[in-house]
Amino acid sequence: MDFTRRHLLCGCAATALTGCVSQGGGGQIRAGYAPSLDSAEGGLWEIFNKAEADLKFSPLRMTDEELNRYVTDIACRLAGKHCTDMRVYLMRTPFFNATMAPNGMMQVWSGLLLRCQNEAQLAAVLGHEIGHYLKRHSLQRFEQMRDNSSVAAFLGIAIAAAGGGALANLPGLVAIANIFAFSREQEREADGVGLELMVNAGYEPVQAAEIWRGLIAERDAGLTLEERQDQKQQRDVFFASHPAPADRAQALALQAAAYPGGKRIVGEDRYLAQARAFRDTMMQDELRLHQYDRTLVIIERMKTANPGDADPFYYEGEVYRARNDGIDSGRAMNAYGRALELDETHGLSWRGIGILHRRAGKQEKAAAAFRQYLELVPDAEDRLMIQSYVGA
Amino acid sequence: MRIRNFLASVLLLFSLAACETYTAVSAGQSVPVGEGITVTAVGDWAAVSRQFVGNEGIDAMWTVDGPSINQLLFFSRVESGEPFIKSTNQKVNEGLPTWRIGMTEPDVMEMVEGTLVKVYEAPVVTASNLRPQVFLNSPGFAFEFDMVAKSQLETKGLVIGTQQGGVLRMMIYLAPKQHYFTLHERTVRAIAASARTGSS
Ligand SMILES: [Zn+2]
Repeated sequence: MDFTRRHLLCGCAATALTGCVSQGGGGQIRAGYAPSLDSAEGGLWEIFNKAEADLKFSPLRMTDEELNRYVTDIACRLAGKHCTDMRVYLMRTPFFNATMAPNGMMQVWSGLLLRCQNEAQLAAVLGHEIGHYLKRHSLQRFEQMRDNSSVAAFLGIAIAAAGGGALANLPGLVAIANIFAFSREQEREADGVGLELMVNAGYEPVQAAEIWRGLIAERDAGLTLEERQDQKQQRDVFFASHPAPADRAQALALQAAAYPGGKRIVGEDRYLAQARAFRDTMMQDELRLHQYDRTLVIIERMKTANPGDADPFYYEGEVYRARNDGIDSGRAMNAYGRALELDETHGLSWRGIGILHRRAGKQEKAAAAFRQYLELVPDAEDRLMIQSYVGA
Repeated sequence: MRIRNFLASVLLLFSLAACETYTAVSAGQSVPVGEGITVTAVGDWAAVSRQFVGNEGIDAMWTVDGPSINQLLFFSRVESGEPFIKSTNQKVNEGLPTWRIGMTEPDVMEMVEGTLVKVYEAPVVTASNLRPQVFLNSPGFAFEFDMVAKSQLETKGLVIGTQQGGVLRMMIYLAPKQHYFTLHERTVRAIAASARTGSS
């Protein structure tokens, strides 16, 4: 519970309990910049260069070329002349997170890709992270730390992590990302830069606020009004130095509205075309977390983004089938049915229907549904089991 | 090499210590593994003593190269409404998936995936190749899974089980994907085939 709640709003978005930050770090970085090796900044980069060398071989890395090219291209359009100074790594980890290291190593987690409704929302996150890079926020944090004893702790963690052993481990990666958890001012600044980059690249800036609205809806999903207040209060204590998600959504919406109107890219279809191939896997990873109320929020947002899409209804069926509480099997049956109305070749929905019937002891109906499934998905990986149900 | 060394050290410990960590299980030996299941060892194994098993719910844990490298876990009697394993970390146990009477095999597979994600704090667990398999002379199931644990170690697993008489009985073999999984896979399958109900 805590594990997932905590991860929902984590990342550079809202991780640490750090104080304010002074101005420093030498302002905006120039294209092609690399610090001299004997400087503090150079040492900092070196730690992350080593971390990056290991990250390249992480088993969690999503290596599909087309997807990587798609995300990198968006990052490049946003970053402009800084394009070649950054590398994006897509990581299969089912939580909402993106991070930026001082050397230009950016991580985007699959839980974030699952939650974006369109290309503009992904661009908003990438733009925000690029903002941290351009403004050298990590260096600012580092310089601030050098003023006190926390630098020793920082170097301890960073060096251990970069050393390989500990870095091979996910909490290590998170720790190294979080050590640079940014201040409230830095987050605001990155939000501003992100919006600017979005607009320059032709994206609809209003979408930046929409991501936060989704996260707020997820945070509050399945909670009573009272619990929501508690949750909010807890958050307010926990993220004392960070903009609350609601404030952030509001600030972003206001800033976005200040840009002159015009025809801008939202890109629901483009995003779906790229994400579709990975969405089943990402959704299965999400379903395994058993946070059903929140998963349903993600699914509702998918329906809004692409109304004719059958998959979100199938996912809804999967949630209810897995939860299996009270009238959930009825709900699941309806959702699978709706998916099949939208796409009569949606074989996985037949699988779900078959399982529901089989659970209820309706063997004939189950067999009929499973036959449809096997016909539509001939290379089903559970084919042998399902065939044994059909009696073929 | 490593195998010999490990088992040799097990035997040494066995002879020296009063409260030993391991008990040798020699090839051909028939051993009860939990309530009402007996298996015959194929190859030499070491049974990890109760107090060193850690996670709750495991009726027996065997290993060849040490529990940090490979584990063969036996769950002899999971009751309806119960999770099949519990972590030593209570926070993780909140909302663990449970096995329920009437689950189909795909449901059981998903229940195992969801449980491993929590108990092993693994960001990614993917089961595949669900198929029918006789276990304990009853119709049962088998499937494999790939897991990237918190340590980012890539682990592969084999699950064989059956839902009979109102309980779930299951064994899980876990080992690093590279090298170790395939090294003992056939032996594990043979041990599964040797499983009988009742104690010897
Ligand atoms: Zn940020």
